[in-house]
Amino acid sequence: MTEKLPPIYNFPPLYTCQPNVLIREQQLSTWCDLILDFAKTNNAWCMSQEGTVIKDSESSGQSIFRNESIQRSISVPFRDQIWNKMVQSEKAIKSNNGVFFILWRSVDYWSSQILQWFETTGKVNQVVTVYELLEGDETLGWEFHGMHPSLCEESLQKLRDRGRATLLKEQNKIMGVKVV
Amino acid sequence: MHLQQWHYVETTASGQPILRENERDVYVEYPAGCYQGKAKIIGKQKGRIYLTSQRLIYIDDEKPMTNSVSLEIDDIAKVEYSSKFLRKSARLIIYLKDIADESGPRAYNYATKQPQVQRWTCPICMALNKTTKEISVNNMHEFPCENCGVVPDFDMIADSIKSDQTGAFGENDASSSKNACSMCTFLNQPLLSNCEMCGTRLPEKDRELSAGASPDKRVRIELDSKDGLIPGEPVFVQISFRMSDGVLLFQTVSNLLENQERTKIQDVFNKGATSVNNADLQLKSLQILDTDSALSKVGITSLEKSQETKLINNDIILNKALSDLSSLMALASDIEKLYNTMGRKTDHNSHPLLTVDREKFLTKDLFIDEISRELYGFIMSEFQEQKEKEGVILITLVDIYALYNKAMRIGSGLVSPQELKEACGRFEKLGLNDLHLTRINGRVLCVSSGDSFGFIKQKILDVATTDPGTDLLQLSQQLNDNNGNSWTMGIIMEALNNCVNEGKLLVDEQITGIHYYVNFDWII
Repeated sequence: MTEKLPPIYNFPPLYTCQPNVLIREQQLSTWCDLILDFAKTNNAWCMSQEGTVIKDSESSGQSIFRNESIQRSISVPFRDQIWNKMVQSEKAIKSNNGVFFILWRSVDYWSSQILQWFETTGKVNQVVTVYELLEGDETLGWEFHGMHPSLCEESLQKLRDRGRATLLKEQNKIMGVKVV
Repeated sequence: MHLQQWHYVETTASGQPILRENERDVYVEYPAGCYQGKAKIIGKQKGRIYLTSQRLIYIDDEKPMTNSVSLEIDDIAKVEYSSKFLRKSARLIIYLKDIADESGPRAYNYATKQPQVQRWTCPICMALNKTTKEISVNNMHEFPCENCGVVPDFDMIADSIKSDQTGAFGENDASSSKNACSMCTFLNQPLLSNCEMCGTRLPEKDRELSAGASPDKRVRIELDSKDGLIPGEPVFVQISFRMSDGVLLFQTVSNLLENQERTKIQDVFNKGATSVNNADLQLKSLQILDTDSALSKVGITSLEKSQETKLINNDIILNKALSDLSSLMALASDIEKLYNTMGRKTDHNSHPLLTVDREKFLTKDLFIDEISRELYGFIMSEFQEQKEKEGVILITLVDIYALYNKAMRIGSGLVSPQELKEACGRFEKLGLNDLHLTRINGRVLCVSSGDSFGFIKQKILDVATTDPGTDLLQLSQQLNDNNGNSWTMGIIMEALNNCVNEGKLLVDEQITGIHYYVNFDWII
């Protein structure tokens, strides 16, 4: 899973919190890039705090924060620093159950992608369920196919804020969407 | 034209005089200026006066290498003190001995001590007889011929009597071009003023010839006016004290002169020794001579007897000589062994070191100045190898403190860390520009030369570039690869910390230790 990461992933000092503040900033942003890269290549929408990919609400695979090939792993305080940085720079969203949604594209990008899909497929003014949108055959080949429902909700919220979508809720859960 | 009593002084780079063998320093006075007669000597107006057991040395503050001069204590006839009066500062007036009449009393001294040996030729058998007694008509019967036993008439031998004063010291005559040391009997070059072996002042008579022949070109004396010295009158020089009253120096010089006189009178041969190789020193070779003169009886029996005693004497002497020789050989082999074990460490600088004793200084300030000079010389010689190889020196003050106190201060009172720090801070003020006190990482005080910290940092970066992931141990091994211990752990540690803080190095902390990498990726 981590094989395709850039070579800096195998640089041992990456795993130690650097004492120099300016250097540490760059180290953190290197980590952010690595996580985004990692999530993108593995098509991972959300990750646990430990750095593992979560699919179907089950964490699987190895942690990005542990590099077996050079026998290095990151300390817990430094890992929290990285996540903080991710959230601050809006590259991740922390959900309430300690899971991070990795935004290898921004939320705006996703919402415009969804909008684009509605327009190209002529689904405007039709009600489409979230399940259809994310898992249906019609979205195959689109980047947001397989997206985590919570993240999808975020993107749809954006559309609604722009006045382009009406959200259909059932038991406080968004079930469907109608784009106008 | 300068006085011949001024001599050139060798100094160290840090402006301390290099002492001779057996010379030790007594007192240091600061600041002072030199006068010849009544005239100021240009370029010698601000400096220190070192009083040693053999010399009075002036070391110039500005140009210690060229402007320093010395006076031999032996050349000083007497000293007088003139106290401060209005604008005239306190002075020490030193009357010098006239070079011409110096040899007189000394030569006489030796002459009286030597036994007179008289020789006479027997008119019958023509044998040459010797005696230490005075031969006259009256006591002639006490001197039968050693060979034939006949007592000749005094008239007959009167012509052949020769008194020979230097008989026992014949070798002195044979090598009159050499100058024998009165302490160790080493034959020195006549040009030398002090013995090459033991540093004792040599007899004057030969030296005075050479002194007159070629005045030392290295001594430069320029006066600002006439010195007012009249030929025939006693010559004098003055030392003027700029700040102190100089009474202490005056007292010590006069004490020294008194002591000098006293020691000169004493016999210097084997001084202080009670026995040589368990043999009593009183047992002189004269004993043998006694048996010769004691032979008083006439005839063949006595001749035989004398022959026997001679043989026995020879035996004794030979045995003694052999046992002496073997013990000497044993000692020599011991020394050889010792030399071989120490072989690697040849000592270039065998001069006795100036002992910087607190009591020799009037104020603490002077003491610290002197410590500073000594430290400078010490560091420069101790780390000479590193300096030659790397071009820079960098040592923590803690290391210097330990090294200096252990190497130089034992016996003369250790210096406190505070004093050491002060002394190191004064390098610049004293014109010792090669070293300075620096504070690295804002906390560790070091003595360094040039930009040594930058140098060591660059070296560390070089090592880390060629060998990423290096740690402290590996670094110190690589840096001290070919020369001993020039970079200490402490210094390397500080340099590493500095590099990390500046972002030049990245750290990788593991249980096994901290590994260092050069920062190529995260440029600030």
